[in-house]
Amino acid sequence: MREHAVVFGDESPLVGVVTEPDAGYDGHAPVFLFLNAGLTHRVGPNRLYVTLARKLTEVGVTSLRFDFSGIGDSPVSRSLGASDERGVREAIQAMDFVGRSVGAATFVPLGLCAGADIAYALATSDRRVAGAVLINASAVPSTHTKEHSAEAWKRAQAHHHGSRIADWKGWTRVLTGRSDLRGIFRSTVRLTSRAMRFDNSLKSEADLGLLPELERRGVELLAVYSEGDLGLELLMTHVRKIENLESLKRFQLEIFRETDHILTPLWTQQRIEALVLDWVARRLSVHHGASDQAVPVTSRPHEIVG
Amino acid sequence: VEPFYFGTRDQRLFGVYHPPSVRRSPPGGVVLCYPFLQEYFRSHRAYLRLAGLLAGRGWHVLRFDYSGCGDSYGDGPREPEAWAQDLRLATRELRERAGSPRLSLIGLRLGASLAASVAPSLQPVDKLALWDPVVDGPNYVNELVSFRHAATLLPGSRRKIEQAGGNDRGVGLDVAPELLQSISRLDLAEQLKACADRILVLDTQASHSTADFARRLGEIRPNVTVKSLSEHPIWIERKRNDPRNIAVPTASLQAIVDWMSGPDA
Repeated sequence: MREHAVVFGDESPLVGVVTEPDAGYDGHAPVFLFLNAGLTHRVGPNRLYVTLARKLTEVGVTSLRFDFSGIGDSPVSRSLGASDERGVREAIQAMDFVGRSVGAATFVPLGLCAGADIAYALATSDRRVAGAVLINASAVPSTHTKEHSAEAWKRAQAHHHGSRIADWKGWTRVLTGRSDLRGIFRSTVRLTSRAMRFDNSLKSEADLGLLPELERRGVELLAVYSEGDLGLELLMTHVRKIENLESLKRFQLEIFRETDHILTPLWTQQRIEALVLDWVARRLSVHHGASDQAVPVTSRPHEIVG
Repeated sequence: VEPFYFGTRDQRLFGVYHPPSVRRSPPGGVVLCYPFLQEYFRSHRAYLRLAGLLAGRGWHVLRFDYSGCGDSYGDGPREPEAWAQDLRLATRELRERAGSPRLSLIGLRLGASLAASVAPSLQPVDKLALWDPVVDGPNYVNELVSFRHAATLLPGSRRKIEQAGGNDRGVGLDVAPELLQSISRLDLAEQLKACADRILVLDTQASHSTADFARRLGEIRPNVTVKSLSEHPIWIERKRNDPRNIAVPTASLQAIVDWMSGPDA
């Protein structure tokens, strides 16, 4: 495995690290792009992106992790546009850069939270995307209206409140007089009311959004959610029930129980590493040593090699 | 900025060099020492800003990731001595780039403690800025292990992690017990008797242990400046809807840059 620092970008300099197998890019496998999880710089929450990038080299996969403008080591861009639109533009610049550098033609964006939303938007807009790994995305199955987001947020709050009711430590605090009973009562009434209004407002039919179109294009999707995450609530708002996703053969849904939004427990990180490697092997047909036609990396325009 | 890797072939460290944007005489370099674990992630952007401010005052600046952290080699923080060696490598790298032996160090939290403990072996060191240094090792380790720290770092996460039985050392990162033991044996003041010409202790948390440390330091050596100000710690996430939710602690950064560029610089 070898790594080098790169600087690229058409609008403003974007800083990243390319991680590749010792033999270099194999000429076939899609290149992974790691997209910032919110404001966390390119190493990912708990360094997840670094670990994954290095694991992927074991099956011959090259990757680029980089910082969007204004995040991590990349300076703020002067270009206009909403941050998610700019993110998609900069992810396209990353694909262009890797395409020029090593000759890669296909890509797999991987993101967590906001990074997952950009990965999904990229998959829907650029034909070079062969697959995407979406961890706690909130934009699947389509770009949501504000109304939908608000509804799902209420649902997520109600879910969270339900789990609090089942928390014996919380009841211990109540029974020992260490909780604000008046506040709990107000909160319970408010959230129950919201949840009831939300359930009444749900549409009856399933809406798979852009997923069928991606399926027709042959784009493989691995969607991973933490149980109770807002993104999962948003997904279920549209698809209504998981069974409605069964018609999609290229959409793999995994739900991790008892973890948080950024997959903090170590066991969760280990599990997602195994999951991604398995998905790469089964869905993208990437196996270690699949090609003996390694492409030497000879030219990397706009980069600084460390 | 200039990102690059340095070190040996098998042990490559990631660094970012900020060349000075103005001439300064005499030329000098500053190595920024990151804090540890989740504090590292939250301070990254502030360090970028700090490096830019210092480069704007004529300093050569190097930020770098310790082994097992960030983009550097290694699977996780494991060897207590490795980070000290990493810092020595980084200072050598910066001295070569700057073309000058003049060196200063700035560290935040455990990064400050590391800089203080390694500085005696890096002589000469002009200035040493200790930003909210970890001076009570056992308490710091206890915070990490007991989740008290995690509860403030990762709002809403503590209960889920506890439910999962995942009492990860270091919260989300696999930290070797030897490293925690090493941290718990910290005794900075003794190490700082004669390690740098001038020392700044910046306390932004009204910490009693930091105040005691600074007082003790002032008793055993000259040229110690203590600066106290009140600012939200950048290593603890604010609530999203808090209007004071700023990623970069400008007052702290300015205090450090002013001290670095003061009349005795």
